[in-house]
This record gives sequence, structure tokens and C-alpha cells, in this order.
Amino acid sequence: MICLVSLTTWVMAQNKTVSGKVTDAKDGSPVVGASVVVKGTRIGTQTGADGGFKLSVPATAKTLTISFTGYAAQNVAISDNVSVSLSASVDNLTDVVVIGYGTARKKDLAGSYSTVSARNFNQIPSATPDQLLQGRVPGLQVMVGSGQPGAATAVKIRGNNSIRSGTNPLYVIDGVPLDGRSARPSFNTTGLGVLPESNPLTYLNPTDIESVTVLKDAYASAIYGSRGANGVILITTKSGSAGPLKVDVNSSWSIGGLMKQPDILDAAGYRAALTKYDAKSDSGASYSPFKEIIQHNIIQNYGIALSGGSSENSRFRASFLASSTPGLIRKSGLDKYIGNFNGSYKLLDKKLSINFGLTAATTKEQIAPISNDPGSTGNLISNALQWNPTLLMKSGSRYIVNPNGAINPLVWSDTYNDYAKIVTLLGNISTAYKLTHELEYKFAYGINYSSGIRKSEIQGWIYGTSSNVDGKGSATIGNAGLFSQTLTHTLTYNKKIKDINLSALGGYEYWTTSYESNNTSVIGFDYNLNSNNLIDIHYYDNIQDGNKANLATTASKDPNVDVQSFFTRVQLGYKDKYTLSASFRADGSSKFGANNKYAYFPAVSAKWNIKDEAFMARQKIFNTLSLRIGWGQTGNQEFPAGAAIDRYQYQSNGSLKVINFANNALKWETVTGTNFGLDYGIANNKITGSLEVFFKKTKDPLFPGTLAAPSASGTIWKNLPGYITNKGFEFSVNAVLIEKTGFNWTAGLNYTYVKNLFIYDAVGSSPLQLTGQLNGKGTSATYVQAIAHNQPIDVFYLRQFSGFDQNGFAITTSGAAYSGDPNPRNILGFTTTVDYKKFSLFINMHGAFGYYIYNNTLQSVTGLSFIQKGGNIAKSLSGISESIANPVSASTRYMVSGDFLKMSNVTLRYKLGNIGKVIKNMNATLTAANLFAITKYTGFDPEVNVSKADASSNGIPSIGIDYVGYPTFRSFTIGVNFNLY
Amino acid sequence: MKNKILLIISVFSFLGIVSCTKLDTVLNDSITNNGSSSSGGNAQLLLNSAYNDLGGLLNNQDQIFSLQENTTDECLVPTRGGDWDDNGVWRVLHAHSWDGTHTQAQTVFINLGQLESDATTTLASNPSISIAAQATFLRCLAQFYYLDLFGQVPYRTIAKYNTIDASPVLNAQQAIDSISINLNAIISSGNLPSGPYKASTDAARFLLMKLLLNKQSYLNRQNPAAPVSDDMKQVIVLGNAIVANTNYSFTPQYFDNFGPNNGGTSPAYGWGSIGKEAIFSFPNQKGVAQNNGINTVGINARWMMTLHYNSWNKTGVIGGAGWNGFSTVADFYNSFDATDTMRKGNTYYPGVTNTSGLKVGLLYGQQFNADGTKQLDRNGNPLFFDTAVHLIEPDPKTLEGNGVRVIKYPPDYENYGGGQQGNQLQIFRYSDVYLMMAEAYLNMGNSSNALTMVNTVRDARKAARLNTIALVNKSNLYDKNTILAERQKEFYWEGWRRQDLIRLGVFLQPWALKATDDPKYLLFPIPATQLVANPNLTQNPGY
Repeated sequence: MICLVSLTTWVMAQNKTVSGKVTDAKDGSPVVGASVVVKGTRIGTQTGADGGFKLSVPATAKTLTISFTGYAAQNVAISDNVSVSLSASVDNLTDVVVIGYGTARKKDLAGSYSTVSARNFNQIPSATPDQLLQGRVPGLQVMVGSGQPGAATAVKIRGNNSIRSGTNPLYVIDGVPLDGRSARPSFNTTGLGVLPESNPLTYLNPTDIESVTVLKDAYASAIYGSRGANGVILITTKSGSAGPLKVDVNSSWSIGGLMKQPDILDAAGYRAALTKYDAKSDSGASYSPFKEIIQHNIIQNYGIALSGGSSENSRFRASFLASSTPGLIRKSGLDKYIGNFNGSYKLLDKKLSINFGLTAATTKEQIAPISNDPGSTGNLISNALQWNPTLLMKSGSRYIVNPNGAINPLVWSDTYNDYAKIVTLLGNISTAYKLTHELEYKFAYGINYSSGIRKSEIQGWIYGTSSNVDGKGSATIGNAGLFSQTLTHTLTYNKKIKDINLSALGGYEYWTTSYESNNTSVIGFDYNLNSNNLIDIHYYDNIQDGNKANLATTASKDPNVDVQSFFTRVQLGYKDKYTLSASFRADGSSKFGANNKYAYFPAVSAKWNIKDEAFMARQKIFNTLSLRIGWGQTGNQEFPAGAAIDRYQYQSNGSLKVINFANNALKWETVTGTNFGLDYGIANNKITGSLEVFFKKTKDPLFPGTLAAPSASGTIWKNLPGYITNKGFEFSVNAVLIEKTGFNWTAGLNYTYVKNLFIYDAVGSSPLQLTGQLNGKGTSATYVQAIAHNQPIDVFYLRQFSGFDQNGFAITTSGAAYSGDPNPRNILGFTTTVDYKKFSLFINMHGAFGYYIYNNTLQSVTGLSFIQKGGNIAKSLSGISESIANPVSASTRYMVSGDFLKMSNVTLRYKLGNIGKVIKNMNATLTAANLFAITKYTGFDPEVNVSKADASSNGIPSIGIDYVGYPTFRSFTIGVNFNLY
Repeated sequence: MKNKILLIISVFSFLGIVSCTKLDTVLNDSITNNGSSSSGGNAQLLLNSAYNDLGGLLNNQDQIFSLQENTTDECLVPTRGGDWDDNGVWRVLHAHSWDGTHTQAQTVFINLGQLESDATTTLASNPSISIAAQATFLRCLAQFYYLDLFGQVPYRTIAKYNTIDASPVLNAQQAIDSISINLNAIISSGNLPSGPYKASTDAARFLLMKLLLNKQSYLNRQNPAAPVSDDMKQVIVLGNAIVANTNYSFTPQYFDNFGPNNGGTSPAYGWGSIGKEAIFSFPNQKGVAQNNGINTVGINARWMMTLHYNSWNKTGVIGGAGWNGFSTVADFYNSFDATDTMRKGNTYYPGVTNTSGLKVGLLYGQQFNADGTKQLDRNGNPLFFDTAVHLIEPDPKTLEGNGVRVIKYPPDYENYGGGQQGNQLQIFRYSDVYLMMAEAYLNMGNSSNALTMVNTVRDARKAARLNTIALVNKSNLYDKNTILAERQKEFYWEGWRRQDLIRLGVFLQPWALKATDDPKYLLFPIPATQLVANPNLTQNPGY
């Protein structure tokens, strides 16, 4: 919106004054911040808090164009008092959208951009920005791999571009590109394994977000150069609007439970199985052990925002959010406290504008012992799944010891305390000065500072971890800090010469980021070694008690990352019919090898608005019809800084270790993409949408490849002489089905098909790299996925299972074969909104089809053989002819279809309207999130993504392996929001 | 207008903050120079890194130990229901049916490369003569294992220590020549330190003896030529030189060589009182993270890999005493003669049997707790280690107990489960010098000297003397009057059996749970990923 203002406030002659009010067609509520422009000029303003506006227009002016993100723009004749009611539109071509380093009319955009505005966001308690978009944008796959509040999401735009990790898009908030990492210290608590990452965007308040634009094709993202290859997500936050002070209040309360029950036997089924298999572990009780680790606490969200401004030239907005999101699993959750303040000022006859924004956030996360890669001792989830449903966990205050040695889940939970607190500051200031009517200079400076501290302990009365922690206890304290700065200078030039619109951009950007961390951990404490005698002092608050012989400290500061860039973009438009654009960016990075210091990223695009041609004047079918073509190159430099030069590190034991030797040729990977788009609108634009076809090719893919032995590091970051392709298409349709006073019904559907292939002839048919390592008993050195020539990335590479022999042993082929694709080929999103009088119902579903999941949980945690060891087994195993001596071998037996359709969001809103003279526009909402999933998959959720990016797979992530992750939370939320003004 | 100018000046002054940067890398927490141009203070630290590389390679149950033992007639890892499937990696080793994707062969190939590279980097970093000699030994050791396991030796020259392109590769003859020259040079230089935890002159002699004895089988594994007399003479000379060192003596109790107190204590870290057979060992220190720059590596795998979950019924670790895997076969268990009880074991060991009931050596029969009660398996049946064993245990009732277990390293119960056990890993042992010399004498036709050497070892183990000795009995691999069988009694589960079977020409013979074979299994395959990365390597025949 900040940028919008700069485009629309140029005032020329002042002859007459028009005033009016803009309201929402549905309910008559004021539309705040709508753009009101004299058609064909730049004379305009924005509506205030009451939806009203006042504008001086030339006497000759006849028409006003009223527009606002998320609504269909309208042209109205100028009269003394204009009253306009805007109708919602999911996709409107006359919108002005934020693009890289500027804004543009959607009508002129030849690249592939999708914008979702706040009113269309998913309603999920404590959502992160990526979750707001789930299922809403064609080509965008948002995978929430864990139910832990604040868990990281895997976001992929049009397929999987890369082999390595770091495939999430670049996030840019109000023009400031983010680092993409979180300052949550990561460490492996002894015996536990790697805990999942947290979402680096947790500190954003969803109600502060005005709109999100996704740059999907290579043309659109090429302006972000060597950081744009995964696509770019531009987040625009709300700003104030002129008028009296307005206060927005919103609060919500949620409760919930498991979306899907675990696939394990109940006590009666377990007893029957014991009899069947002649096992002897009936301990007499009957209950559901998994429920013991679930908590039912209320999620609370309280938000308030103040905005206002003395005039169009001086506006501000301030907001505050406090939320508490206890997780589904005991002793997990996320508390957030977020403040945001931004202002927008114009000086010197509006030639100088100054905008600033500051977000300060504290998040406190409580983490449950649910690691990604537990071995045979398991994690909290696996221990609870496996727990004998006839054996109590606790009798009175006494914790029961499982005769099979498994860790009691309540002991796990009660001995384990783990908190991460992260303070984040996100600040930006920009000044823009109009040097002439056409030429504007802008300077922007942004910082992204984040500091995290994490403290964890395992109290010494734990047993069964098979580590030194048993009977001794451990504590770890970690700190991490992230600081990045962005400095941008741009010059923009906009000129209309007769029928030609020229706009040009030139810029320089410098981005630097640093990351540092330290950890201290120690084993061996003198207290809390017995559950009968516990004192309320955490080991991490008294860490000096730990045994010094088992003290370990580490500190690290990553090598610097400095990127400097020069970029330009030129756009030529002719009569609104033809648009031609080209951009170019040069990126220099301190990470690149000595031979490749600068990367260059060109892009071109063209658009033809067919509808505006004379020959289309007579047809009545299309109200919108345009063709787009875009081509561009973008890059990715997601490899560790320092990978391109010799690097040695001093170690604790008096040794000097080679981290890696120099790869002078190391450089970015390049995605070259071509996009064809067709935008259409029929039936008075009541049915709109687009069809897009895309081809992407990743050259020089970055890969932590095997280094020819002898080598000190085993692997080295290099650019493979192969490539990755992603080909597919997207289709979207949005329809206004009913539009009557008091009754509106809209629906939108989007579908994406994408096929992914890795091409590297030199390796032949054998895998270049095995990935997807399994965990749990009997799965050492077991990899189920591969990076292989002419196969999708992380293709399943398995022996084929064809049933059981007469002894109940699995029959499998002896060799592994490429067996299935874990990358969803078909992604579907569906939304519909029904407004009837004061009610409105919003439904969002999303699904993915044509892919496979590997059920490592069934193989290694709830497999049949565990019943002989006093463990519970999967319900789905009853009635099959398997022997309990059958080895737990990886095969296609555990590779199952992941197809699903999820009712991700249902919201019912009731408009209470104004209450008294103070409370305005009150709404009450009832929301269900993750209501159900239609799927044949027996695990917690077919949307799984347990990161297996560990050393054994060269740090290459796997896709779609389900292993005892944090289950998905189904929530029900009651919310209210209202304004005060 | 004045304001405008001021404003433009002030705005553009921001530009001054960022003049174009040079984009140089600043490492912050690490260095980019190995010290080759400086005084060489880093060479010792780099050498320590190379020593540390030995830890995982030799201590772990799934690296060199697995390749050298699970492929033989004395060790296997049966798949037991839900345990030890591991994608079949263990089964294919014992059945001789592995292929080019075997993950353990790949890991060992990479880790040997790390050892070799770190040693080469040390040599390129302005080392003192003592450091250079030790680095040369470690480089030779890595090359020796490459030769032994893969038949090809990738290497980097000292000048090109930090290159990342394809490395040159030595064939067997070139590797033998190169390793011999380098070992002879450091042996005669006198620059090596003494003591069991460093590359000593005796360790270099020992390694050269191994190389000379195996030389003909390295040159032609299927049909080795007769040993060259000069080589055998040199083995005798080297062996005599080691025996002349009075630091070594036979340990009266065989299992003390492997027990938790088998090393010296701080600050001397020498041989200690009971570990005097150690020529080269890895310095694990009880409860201590490191010893003179070398990490203590958890050696608990050496007992946990074989013990049952319930083998130590201590409150708090119930079910966690072991992983119930590695076993041996009846043929080996039954091959000890009646007097050879010290090495066969199944006997009391102080500090161990009185703690958990566990005995040491080859464990057969019902297992007991320290208080004399019977240990039970996880289904509540008596825990009985039986000679019956299968690659995939078929019967739910016996799958936990099948297989005779082997406790070579008596557990350190003070540091049982995690790292930092006190047991030193024995890499080169004194008794091997005698048996290598015996083999050299036999190769030279001197069976009486050979018999003396063998009986010296048997005397130390309180086993009856032998009257005759031969290299191998191809119709009975367990014939006690052979070097092959005597070496097995002395060195079982110490990582030499595969090499001995190949050298003595019987590796392809059928044995328990391995019916057929193929000559390609005399070598491990070059990992596919290495073939892609290094065109100078060629895949071994048959893979």
C-alpha cells in the first residue's frame, strides 16, 4: 500500500472537489484504504477509516476508478457525492499488485503473479504466513510437516527445483528480503536425535498482513537474481489510513484434538493379538496410552491495532498481538508477543515520502521430545504408540517400568523440559523523493535481527535411553543470533508518451547476513535422580552442578555472506494492449568460488490484451482475454558460506580439522523458466481465471557430492553436470455464482500438475545418491529413496513386495527398483464463500494426488514383531498372514499412496454489526481447521515431511517419509472482532 | 530549493555507506591456511585429526570390523524378527552376495580416504621429522586397508593435498612398492615415537610384516604365487626386532588384553600393568573425553552388538544391555581343543561376571544374572544362547537366543551405554608378531622354528603345545595344527580373519551359512559414487 500511494497521489490541477464513500457490496461496511483515481490520470486518494474520501479533480474529469485489493474495480461517473459499493473478487485484473522493487497494474503483468489479500486468508489459529496461503494459490504447495505450533513448513512453488535443502521461497516483507533461517538454537539432546526446525516466520502477526503476492515464474522472480530460484513470496503489511483514530480488536479461543486417530490396537484388540501370537504381556489394564500424552488446553489470541492519520500525508498504524498456543502433545506450545508500528509521511509538497515499519516479537516455544530421527529407543510419539495398552504408565504417583525396557512416555515427558525464546526485530525505513514528475529516487534500509536462547534438560530419573543420561541427567543451553541488513537504492522512471507507457527501474542492493551460535551441554547431576524426590530447580538454571568431565561447549560464527547486486527493469506498454518487459540482475556473492564471483540473470516477457483489440469488440463472450509469455533465469545460492575455499577448524581435543577444501568453481544453480499464460474473464467477469503452462530447468544443481577419495570431508559442494526439470500447468477458475443483495456465493478452484525429473546421464541407471534413510530398529543403512537419472527427485528405490509365503515371511524381489514418486503431481485447492444476510460461510479444501508416502512408523514402531516384545502394533496388521519372525525389511509394502483431500478450513461468520455507539462492525466467527482428511493413508496425516537431511544422506532432504512425527491438530475456534472509532 | 538540495545531499550521503564491496570471504570461526607457510605449529594438530580418523573406522561394528569379520566363517549377524534387517547389509556379507551399493563398503572407502587425506595434509603442513614420520605411517595404514579391501589405492600427492578433482590411483603392485618404500624409510629413520598409542617404529614394522606376508595374494587373489624368500626373511628380521623390545610381554590372562583396564592411566598413558601386548592401539580412556589430542571413542558396540537386551538386569537399564545381534557358528565354537580354555572362555571375569553374571569369551547356554537367577528373553522364556543360528531366524520362539555370542572386550560397567569406555581398542597385538613369523618360517620351509613360535603363543595361553604345524588344511579350516586355525583361536573377532582366509587360499570355500561363492568376492566393489567422482578408478571384476 505504501507504494500504491506513491503512484496515486500525484496531484495536478485542482478545479472541483468530489467526495463520497466506498462500501462493501455484501454488508455495507466501509472499505478502508481503497484507491480512488480519476480515470486515465494519476490524480487520486485513498478512503479513510469510514470508507469516505474527498478529492480535488480537474473540471474536465468525468470518471473515477475505485479499486481495492480483493475487490473488482469500478468506474463511476463523477458527481458531487459518489457512493460506490465494491464486490469481492478473488482475482481481478485491474488491481495494482506489489512486484519486486515496485508495483504494477495487474493488467500489465506478463509474468506469473498470484496475490491473496487478507480477507481471503485461511483462518487458522496461530498461523504462520505460509499457512494462510495453503490451497489458495495455483502452483503453490504448502506442506505443514508437523503439528507442533510454529513448526517449519515446506513451501514449494511449481515443483522441486533442487536436490539440496533450502527449497523454500525467498520471503520479502515490505521490500526487505529475509534470511530464511530461524535463530532457534538447534542441538541434539543426548539420545534423542534431531528436533524439527521451527518456522522462521513465526514472528509475523497474521492480522498485520495486508496481502501476499507469490512470484511464480522465472520472469517474475528473476529480479531477485541469485536468491529467486525457489520463487518469491512478497508480504505487504497493513498501514494506517487517514482519518480519525480507529481501533481494531480481535480475539479468539480454540480447542481441539487429533485430526486422525493413531493406527494402533486398543486393549481388547491387543489381548486378542497376544492370544493369536502366543505372546505374554497382558498386564491387566485397559486404556488408550496415546491419550496420556495429549493435552487439551485452550489456545488464546488477543490482538489490537490502532491506525489513523491527520491527513494523507501523515499516517500510522500500531498493532499488538498476544497469543498462547498450547500444542496437542503434553508440554509443547508456542507463546507469541508481537508489536508492530509503522508510519507513512509525505513532506515537501508530497515530493518526499518517508515510510518506516518496525516489528518486535518475542516467541517462547516449548518443545516436546519428538525428534525426526529417533533410533531404537524412540521418541515420545513412538513410545506412546508402542506402549502396551494393558499396562498403566502411572499408578498413583509411581511411574510404571515397562518390562520390555521401553521408555515410559510419561517419564519422557516429565523428565524433559525444553524452551526456546526468540526475540526478533524487523525494521525498515525508506525515503523516496520525486526528482521530477517522472523520476523518483528511493532509498530503503532494512534490518532483520533475531536472537534466540534455548534451554533444555532431561532429568536424571529417566531410564531406557541407552545413553549416559540414564540415572545422571543432562542439560543444554544454546544461543543463536541472526543479523541481516539490506540496503537498496532505486531510481524509477515513469513516462507516458502518447500511447506508450514507459517505466524503468534501476537499482543497487547490498545484503549481508551473519549467524552465530553457541551451546553448552553437560551430563551428570546430583539431584532429581529419583522421581520420589524431585526439587523444582531445572538443571539448565543450575548447570554448574553438571559433571565437568562431561561438559561440552561449542561456539560458531558462520562465514560472512555479502551479496551486492545491480538490477534494472524496463517496461513498455502500448495502448494497454501490448506490454513488453525486460529485466536484468547481476549478483556478486562472497559465497561463490573464486572463478565465479558474479552471476547474471536476464528475463523478458510480453503480454497481449486480446480483449482490447478491435476485432474483439463485437464478441460477447470474453470480458477479459489476454495472453502472456515470460522467460527468465533465476538463481539459488543455498550452500554454506565458506564452501568455496579451504577451511580448517580448531577442535576441542587439540586437533585441526579440515572442514572442506576449496572448490573455486562453486557457483549458484540457475533455473531457466518459460511461462505461457492465458487470462480469461467471461459473463461480465463473473467467471475469471487463468491457464498457465510452465517449463523449468535447473542447471548446475548444487549438490553435496561425493568427493573423489582420498578427501578430508568426504563430500563437497559442487554444481552437478546434470539438470532438473519441472514441467506442468496450472488452471484456476473463480466464479461469482450468486450475486444478490444479501446473498452472495463465490467459488474458486485451482489445480496444478507438475512433473519433476532429474537428468544426469553419467551415472547410468544406478542411483547417484541414496536418500530417505529410515530410522528405528533394523533400519541401519536402509535408504528408501534415491537421486537417480531420469527419475523424480527422491524417487522411491525399493524391493518389490508381493505378499507372504506359507511361513508368513515377506516375498520381495532381491534388488531394488525405482518404485514411485514422492512429489505430488496433482495439487488441488478449492474455496467457496457463501454470504447470506448476516452470515457468511467460508470453506477451504486442499489436496494432493499422484504421490507416495513411506510409512516408516508402521515398519519400525508398530510392526508385527513388536508384539512379542510387549509392544502395541498397528490395527491395519490384523488379519494378515505375517509371521512375527518376519524381518522388518524395507520394501514397497510400506510405500503407500498419499492421495488426500483435506477440509483444511471452515469458517462461519456472523455479522453483529454496530453495537452501541462505540463498537462497530462486530463479527463473531466459528472456525474449524483440519476438520478431516479424506485419504486411505493410515498414519496421522498424509501431509508428512519428516526431514531426514542428516549426514548419512549427505544432508540431502527426503520427501514424504512418515516417522513418528508430531500429529496434526484439529482445532475449533471461536473468534470476535470489532472496530472502535 | 535550498531544502531540496540539502535533502538530495543528505539522501545521497547514504550511498557513501556502501561503496562496492570486494565480496571476500571472512571465515570468522575457522582458518583457510593450514600453516604450511608458517612455523608448522599446526602440523601436530593436523596429525591429531588423522589419528582421530582411526576411531570410527576401527572401533565401530559396521566399518572395517564388519567387512573383515562378517564375511568369514567366524561371524554373522542373524536377522531376528524386527531387529538387524538393516536392508540385508549383514546377511549379504556372510552369504557372499553383496553388490556395488553396499553401504558399509562405501563408508569404509570414504573414511579411509579421510584418514589418508588428513595424513597427507599433515605432510604438506611443514611438519617436524617426527610428525612427518607418524603421518607417513598413517597414510601407509590407510593405503594398506584400501589395498586389502578394494585392491586399488587412490591417493593424492603432498603437493596436491588440497585438490578436489579426480585423484590418481595405484594398482596393487604400485601400492605394495609405495607402502614398502615409505615404511622402510620411517623404520630406518628412527624418527617415530614409542608407545602403544602412536605410530611407533614397531607399529611400522608390524604393518610392513602384514604387507609382505599378504603381498602375493594382493597381486593375485585367486591364485597367489609362492611367497618370495627375501620377503619372508624380512618378515623374520622385522619380527625379531619387535620381539627384542622389552616393553612387550604376554598378558597372563588373555581377556585382560581387552578389558576395561587394559591401558595405562593418566598422565603416562603407557602400557599399564596388563596391556603389554599392545603394539598399536586406540587410546580410549575411562570416563575421559580425550587422551593427548585423540578422542575417546565409544567401544561399547563391541559388547552391545552381541549381547541380549536383558544381559544386564540392572534397574534402569533393563532391556538396554545389548542389541542382540552378532554371533558365531557352531563349527568355530566346537573347534577349540580341550586345553585351549583360556581363549575359548565362557569363563568368569572379575568386575564383569560378579556385576552382571556375564562371562567372557564364547558364550553358550543358559545365561544367568549375577545373583545366579536365570536371565529371560523378552517373551519371558529362559535366555539360552544356542549353537543353532540362521541368516534369518525363522522361529519366533528361538529367534532371540540363537547363536553363540562372543565377548572379546569385557564391558566397562562404569561407562556402559554411552561413550568413554576404558577399553583400549587393540589394533596390532604382540602375539601376532609370533604367528606372522611362524607363517614366514613355514613359507621358507622351516617348520621347527614355526612350531616354536606357535607354541610360544600357546604356552602363554596355557594351551597344550602342538607337535606339527602347517599353513592350512583345505579340507578342514578348523584343523588345530594349522596357522589358519591357530590365528583364529588367537585373533577371533579382531578383524584379521578375512585377510587370513584369502591369503591362505580358502576364502571361497563353503562354510556355515555360505554354500556357494564367486571369485569377485575376494575384493569389495568400488562404491558407485566413487566411480562417478573418479574416472581413474575401475570397477573390480564381476561387479
